[in-house]
Amino acid sequence: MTENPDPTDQRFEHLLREQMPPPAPDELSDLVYDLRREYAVALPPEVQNRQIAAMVAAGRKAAAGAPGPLRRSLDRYWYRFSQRFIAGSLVSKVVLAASFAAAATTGVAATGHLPSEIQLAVSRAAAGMGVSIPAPEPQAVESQTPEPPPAPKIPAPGAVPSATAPPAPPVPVVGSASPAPTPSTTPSNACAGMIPQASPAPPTRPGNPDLVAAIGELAEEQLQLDALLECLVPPPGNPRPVPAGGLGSAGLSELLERLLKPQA
Amino acid sequence: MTSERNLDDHRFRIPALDDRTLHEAIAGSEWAWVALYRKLHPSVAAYLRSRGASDPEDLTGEVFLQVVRSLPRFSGDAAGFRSWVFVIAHNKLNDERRTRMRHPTELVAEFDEAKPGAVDVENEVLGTMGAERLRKALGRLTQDQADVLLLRIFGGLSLQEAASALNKRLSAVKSLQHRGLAALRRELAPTRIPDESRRNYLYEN
Repeated sequence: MTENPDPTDQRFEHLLREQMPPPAPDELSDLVYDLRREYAVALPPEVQNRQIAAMVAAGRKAAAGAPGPLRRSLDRYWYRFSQRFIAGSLVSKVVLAASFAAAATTGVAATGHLPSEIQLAVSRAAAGMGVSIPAPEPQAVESQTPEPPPAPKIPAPGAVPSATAPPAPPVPVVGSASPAPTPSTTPSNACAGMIPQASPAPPTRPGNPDLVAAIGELAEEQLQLDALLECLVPPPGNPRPVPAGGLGSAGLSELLERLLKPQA
Repeated sequence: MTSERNLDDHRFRIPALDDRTLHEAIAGSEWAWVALYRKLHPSVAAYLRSRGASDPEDLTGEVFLQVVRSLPRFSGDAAGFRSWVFVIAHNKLNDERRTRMRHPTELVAEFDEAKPGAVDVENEVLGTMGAERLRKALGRLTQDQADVLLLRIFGGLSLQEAASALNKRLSAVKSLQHRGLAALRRELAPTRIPDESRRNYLYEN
């Protein structure tokens, strides 16, 4: 596209460059002349002197604090380098971000302010490289394990479900194969580690549990004694079977008599 | 406006800057600062006056303070320096306008006392009429048109330098200049005051 400038614009360019031959004054040259004559007036001498004095003072102050030529060129070089590097490519940005992240992580890890598990991992990794970074205390690691979610509320028997409660399970059809779901009173699996699981209880007898346990122990000892008696003192010629329930107090008396009586 | 046009008048020409003075000023020579100030301050003050600065003298001083403070960071030739100074002036003017809008002050008319040498009443009247006419014509321009035209007329900036100073594209600046000149010609043509002495001077030379 070729430019075809307006004659006025061309004339204006010549006027500004002071290259225009003056064939005749026109409105444009009059305008430029009048504007310059009207406005381009030097300031009064006292104002000039005051401004020059202020300017020199400001220049001296700026020169005193200005960096030297070497520092200026270094600043300029660094500015250009950083501009090209940062705005250069995506890879450079990723590398820069990774460097910052690594530096920040190392710094925080060195002061021991990372979360305990991360601190432990960083500490181990740094120890492999021969760098000592404080490791968290074991309690801190344990205390930071995620807490289990709260156990579901067990509805009280006969309690009316609230409006916000989940809807009740559908009533099973009579005779269907699937059993009706019943509310479970056992703790959830998540609570299994916290609540000691009771061992399957033996069939208990009614009464004081301590007394029952003591009787059980006595019964076991009695059985052991019976077996021992059978082995040690068999009845000569007339073996008498030990009753299944043990010797009892009469049996024990007999045993003592036999043991105390000298052998014939 | 009846005074003779003198093309050698410093007011009609844009003063030329030499690179040596500029380099001395950058290096910190005080005489070079003063020389730059003396050469450039009428044009800077003219730009600020024509753009309607409330206190052009004061603002001119602020512009040169900023120039001297920032001079160690400048790199370029004399033409670039002139453009740079006018960019500073333009920014200062915009700052002053913003301040004025935030803190409006009541304008008080000032009356100049009679000057002892002002005896040519006809010249004074015509001069006042001419100044008023110019002020009115400039008032018809948009802000952008006035910026382009006055930066070029007083600062001697090229089209490219004006585009850079105003942060506009070159084509936009060309268009603004063209429309601004057309508006000025329309405004000034019907009321143009004949100035025979100027015509005679130009015809004779």
